[in-house]
Amino acid sequence: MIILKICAVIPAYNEEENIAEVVKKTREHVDSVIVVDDGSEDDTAHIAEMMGATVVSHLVNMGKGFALETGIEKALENGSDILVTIDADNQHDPKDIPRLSNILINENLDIVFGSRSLDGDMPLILKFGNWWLCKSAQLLFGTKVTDSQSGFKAFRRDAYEKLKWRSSHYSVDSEIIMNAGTNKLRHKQIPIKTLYNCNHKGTTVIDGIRIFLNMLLWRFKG
Amino acid sequence: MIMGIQIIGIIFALFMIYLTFLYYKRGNYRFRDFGIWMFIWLSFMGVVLSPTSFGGLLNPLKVSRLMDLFTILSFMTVFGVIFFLYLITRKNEEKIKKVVREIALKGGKQ
Repeated sequence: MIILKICAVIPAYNEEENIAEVVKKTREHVDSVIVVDDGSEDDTAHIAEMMGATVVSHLVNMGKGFALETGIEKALENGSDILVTIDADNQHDPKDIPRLSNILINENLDIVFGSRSLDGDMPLILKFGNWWLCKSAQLLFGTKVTDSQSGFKAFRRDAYEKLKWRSSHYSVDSEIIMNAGTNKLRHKQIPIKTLYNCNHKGTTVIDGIRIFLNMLLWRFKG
Repeated sequence: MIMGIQIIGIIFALFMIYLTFLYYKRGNYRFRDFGIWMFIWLSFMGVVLSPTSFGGLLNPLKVSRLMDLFTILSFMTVFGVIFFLYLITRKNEEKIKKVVREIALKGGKQ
C-alpha cells in the first residue's frame, strides 16, 4: 500500500492570535504544515515556527492567492502528494482534514471542496455574497460547488497543474472552482464545520464585486 | 493680455517646472528625463500663452473650435500616459512577485 504524504498549506497575514491553535490542531491530521507568512507585521511567523510549522515568509503582503501558490510550491518541493489548504483565522476545524483527504483518496477524486453551511452563523452579508458568487460560478462554469469562497480544500499533486491560478487575492477560491470545472476535474464538496469570530477580515463587498467581474472575464476569455 | 484660465495654466506650468527641477536636483531621475519633462512643461506654457497660434490646425483636422482641439489632444495624451503607466505597473508587479517568491522559498526573510 502506498502511503500518501499530506501537507497543509496555511496562508496567514497578521494572525498571531489564531495561528498557534490552527497549526497545533492541523499538525494532528497531516504529515507537515506550511505556513505562508504573507508580510505580517506581527509575530505570526515566529509563533507558527514555534508550533512546528515550516514557515515561508513574504517580504511584503502579496494577497491570499499568491501566498497560497508560494505554499503549494514549497509543499511540492517537499514531495507532498495531497495538498490541503486551510485558513489561518481559525474558522475551519482541522478535524475535517481526514474526511476531506479520505474522500479524495477513496473516491479517486482530483479535488474536494469543504463547503460551509449557508444556514449556520455566517454573517448575512457574507451569506448573500456567497450565494450570489456560487450561483454565478454554477451558471458560468458548470460546477456544483455551493460555497465559492471556502479556503478549505484538498487536492492531489497531479491536479495542481490544472488548478493553477493567476489571482493574487481573494478571487483565488473562485478561480480554483472555475479551473476544476473547465478542466473537468473529478470534484466533490463536503460540509465542514465553521466558526466565525467577530474579527472577520476576509472577503469584503469590494472583493465580492471584484471576484464577480473576474468570473465574467474568465468565462468570456474562454 | 493674459486672462482667466491662462493665469491658472501658467501657475501650474511654473509649479511643475519647479518640481521637475527639484526632483532632478535630488537625483530622482537622469538629465534626459529632466530635459523631456522640461520640454513638456514649456510646450504646455507655450500653448497656454498663445492658443490662437494653433488656429491653422482647425480646418485640416476638421475641428470647429480650439477648445475642442485641446480637449481631444488632452484626452489622447492622458489615455496614452495611463496605458503606459499600466504597462509599467504590471511589469513591476511581475518583478516584485518573482523577487518575493524567490526570497520566501529560499528562506531569506529573517
